[in-house]
Amino acid sequence: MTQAKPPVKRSAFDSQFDPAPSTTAAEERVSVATQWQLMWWRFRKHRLAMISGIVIAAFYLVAIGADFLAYADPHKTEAFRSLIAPQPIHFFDEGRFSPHVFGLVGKRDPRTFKRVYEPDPEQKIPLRLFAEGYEYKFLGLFKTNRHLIGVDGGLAEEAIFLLGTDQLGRDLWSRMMIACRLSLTIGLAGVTLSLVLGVLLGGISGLYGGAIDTLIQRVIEILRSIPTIPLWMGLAAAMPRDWGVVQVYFAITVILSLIGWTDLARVVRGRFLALREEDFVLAAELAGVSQMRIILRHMVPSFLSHIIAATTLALPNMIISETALSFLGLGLRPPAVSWGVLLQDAQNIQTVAISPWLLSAALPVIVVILAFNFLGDGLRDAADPYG
Amino acid sequence: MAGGMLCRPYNRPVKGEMYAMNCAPILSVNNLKTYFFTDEGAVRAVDGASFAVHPGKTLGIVGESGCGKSVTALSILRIVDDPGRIVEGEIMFRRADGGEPVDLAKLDAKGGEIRAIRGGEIALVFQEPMTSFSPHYTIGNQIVETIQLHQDVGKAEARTRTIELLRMVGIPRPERRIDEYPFELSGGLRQRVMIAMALSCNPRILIADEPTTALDVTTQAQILDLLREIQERTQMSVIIITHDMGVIAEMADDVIVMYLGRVVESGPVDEIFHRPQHPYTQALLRSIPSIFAEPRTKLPTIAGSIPHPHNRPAGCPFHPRCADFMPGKCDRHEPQLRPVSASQMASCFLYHEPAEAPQQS
Amino acid sequence: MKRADGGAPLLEVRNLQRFFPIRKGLLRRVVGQLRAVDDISFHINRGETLALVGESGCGKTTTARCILRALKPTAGEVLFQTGAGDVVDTAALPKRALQPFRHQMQMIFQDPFSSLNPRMTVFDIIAEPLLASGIKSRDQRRQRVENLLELVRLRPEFMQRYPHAFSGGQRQRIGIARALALNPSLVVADEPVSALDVSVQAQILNLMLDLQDELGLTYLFVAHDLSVVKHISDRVAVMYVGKIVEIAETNRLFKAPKHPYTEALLSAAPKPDPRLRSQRIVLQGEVADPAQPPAGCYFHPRCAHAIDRCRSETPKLEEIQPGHVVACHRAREITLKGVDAQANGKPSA
Repeated sequence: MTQAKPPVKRSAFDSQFDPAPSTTAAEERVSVATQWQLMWWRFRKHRLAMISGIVIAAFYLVAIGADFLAYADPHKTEAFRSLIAPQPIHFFDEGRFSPHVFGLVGKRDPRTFKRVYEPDPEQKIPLRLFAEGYEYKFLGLFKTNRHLIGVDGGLAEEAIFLLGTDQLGRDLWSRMMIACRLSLTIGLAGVTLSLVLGVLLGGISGLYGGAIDTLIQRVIEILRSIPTIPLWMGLAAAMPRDWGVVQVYFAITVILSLIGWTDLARVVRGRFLALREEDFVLAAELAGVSQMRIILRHMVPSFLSHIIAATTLALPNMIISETALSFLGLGLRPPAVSWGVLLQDAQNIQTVAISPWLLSAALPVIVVILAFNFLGDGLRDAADPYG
Repeated sequence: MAGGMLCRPYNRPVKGEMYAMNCAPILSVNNLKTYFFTDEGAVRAVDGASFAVHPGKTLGIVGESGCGKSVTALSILRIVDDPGRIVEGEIMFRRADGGEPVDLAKLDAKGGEIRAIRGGEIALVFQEPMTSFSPHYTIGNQIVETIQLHQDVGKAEARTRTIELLRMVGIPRPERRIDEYPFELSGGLRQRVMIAMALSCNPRILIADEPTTALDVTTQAQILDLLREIQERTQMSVIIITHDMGVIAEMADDVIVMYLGRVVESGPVDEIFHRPQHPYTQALLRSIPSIFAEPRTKLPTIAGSIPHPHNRPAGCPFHPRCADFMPGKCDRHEPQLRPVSASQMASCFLYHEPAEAPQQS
Repeated sequence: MKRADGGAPLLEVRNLQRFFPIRKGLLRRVVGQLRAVDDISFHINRGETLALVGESGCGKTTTARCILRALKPTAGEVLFQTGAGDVVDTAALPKRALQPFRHQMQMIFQDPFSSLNPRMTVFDIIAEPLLASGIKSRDQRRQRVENLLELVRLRPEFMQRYPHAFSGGQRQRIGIARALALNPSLVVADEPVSALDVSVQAQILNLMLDLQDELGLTYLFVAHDLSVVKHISDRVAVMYVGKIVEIAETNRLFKAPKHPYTEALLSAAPKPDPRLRSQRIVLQGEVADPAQPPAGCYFHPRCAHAIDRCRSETPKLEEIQPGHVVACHRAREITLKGVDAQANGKPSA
């Protein structure tokens, strides 16, 4: 064998093995880190998303403990307490820590004949933690009548009005707590069903291609051309009469999820098509790895994180559609209590001008939607730690 | 273009000839340091690069991935992306008006002066011609716009000039091609259009960053020919940045070799290829597969791989892979770029002794 | 350097074709055929390296994938000699029947980043073919992976790491270890060094040469870089627009090319020596469009030697000397320059 080039000087490092650069413990940790660890490290740096995650967790905790956090029966009307303004809590009484609210005295305005409420500083109503109030079933498990706050002796709904009351004299704070539960959960089933359908049909479409793919794609196109609001109205009218409002709404979200899976299906199909072309998938195929294992081991983990991110971004949609449809009177209707239903009271400009606190249900909607979006953005950024 | 005329047209290196010592450089970079400040710490992408570009000459910057050759180009044009920053050094550029040289490193990166220089006096040709065009406009639109941005001409005149330029870069039927969209062109034609766009304002320096890497060999030969022909005609200076020693051998008058952000060797092209001084240059040249080799011969290799910029070795960055590694010297002190012959410089302790104090860090 | 044992070739490709339909319009009607691989034939002997060379779009990668049956050929035969000694036509077999032969042909990929699943450890990546071939015991697999890592000169203790901890060259070694896991006889390497840094290319080329000697491998080496090809291959096949234009022993092809396209390729290859400047033949024009190739010889619009016959009649591959086949009407008349004619003195480095 003739060597065209002069022999090389052997360096001290030219051993049998590729020299390993000296690695510190931290690098060693990174080199054996799994996908999920890398994602978590990356997500952690996204401060806004972290905070949003905590906010959302807090909202769902509220949803679970809504009855406990409420202090007044959200359905009990009382004409004498109509449109009371929010009432501040006073924490100190002559330098001593003793949270209390002032009693209210109802008067009629001699000129407008409207009923107005004025605090009476003489009448101090002390607040109590874990006080007794109306009876409810905690998590549907056991009956209790303990609430986070209340007043000694009398009924809380006669004394505390943290966010004021509506026209029918129902306490807004308590209604918002209960609304949170319905608004945050009513769409979950629909989103879950969309998710399952999207992944399944998108996966089949991307994986098998050919005629099945064409069929699914055409179905998607037809479904996407159906206008949602008229369909919604039609479905609402077609539901059995004897169903409650919540049942009807739930049924509609489930039916609509049969249309709503298309976006996710397209994403999943796209990922499958791209992954099918990946070299590591071909390598597995050439090694004789079974189709099932290729899908489960190579393909699904590559886009699982994307699906989580996509779902996080789909959830606020569900909340905002509930709010919007209920506000328009197409979704939930009283006696159901949701953020959208609460906002229905604020539909007329006169009410809003006189009692602006009726708009307070918009605040949690805004906060939770923003939080979901930030969280989704953070997840999406962290979803591909190898990018 | 008075600067270019001072020097005799000169393209082929002739052995033994002195290199344009009588010509002041049009661009001189001194101790340029561009760092990227990431979450994991500062990455020293360019760490003390110095070189000069002479009028009408081609400077080749050669190096492997992570050597900082592209960041050097971006630094000259002041288009380094966040979190990158020029932290030290000067980039002296003699403008066309013949005044005192300006330090590009000190200019406001968004200011009027650098914008006039960028695209007007210093133009850039990228590696990937597809991504450097907007897909929504015809190539003609994009070149006309560039011309009008830097020169005070009417639309009709700019269009005529564009057609001329396209013809000059060897695009067949330029009157028709001018109204085509970038995706309608092949890779080679797109690179020609890219060059036409770069030439549209008669730049005095053309920076070509891996101009042929995405192309096939026969197309590469065409583009390199084109670049040289245009240079002969316009007497502009060219900085060609590549990882391919073959392209350097083909194009450059002077060469700087970079490794992990540092210039390890510089000199005239013939010296670099036939009398390399730095162990990295020597090893790199030996390890390149050659078309003249006997079939099935093993190549001399450089051990190991290029370290990640975050794990830059202390001292001379090449020492863990170097055949001439001197313990206690190379791993403790940073060598400086010093003359090793009349025309050549190398940054290696084989040729100079380390300064007294060992480097901190 | 002759390692062919004179018996039947390990792989013989006969009249292989692979067309891709070109679809247009709303109904995705087929309006034409892209002739990616258009009737090519060649063979590879046991233990040798055949390089398949050409520019992008010439069909070399498609050919490689057809041989591995990652793509189904449109027509033609791919005759593969199995370990048991019988010859199967893998182009004709249904995908399922291919399974027993799959492990005898493996592939090394171009891109060391996309060819390793970033979500699996090195052990899982290399052990996957073992698992698929039915080695159930984890200890056995671990042992084999350790051996394979040593074979490609990587430290076995890196097994638990993920690909993101490795450099391009190291990843390519991992890819090679995976390809060798099942003791293949044929390894198809698709541009295995073109994505690597120059200083790392040589390591991988040397490793491939060593492995061939140690394990008696046969390589089909797909590449565009002629200098890389010169180092590794015994014979070279040059492709242009879906057709093979020339096959010869490496030294012959480089020293005395018989096809004008080969000559141009050799001439255009950048040479790391400034003293060899401007001795290049620069081809005019562009590579022909495989969807609408010109009549006659596909190369004639760019060929300096073209005559009328080249414009109308497609040249056939002809053996002009033993082991040297060319598809050119004028192969016997014209004299072409090889690389030695260009290098008036070898580089002195």
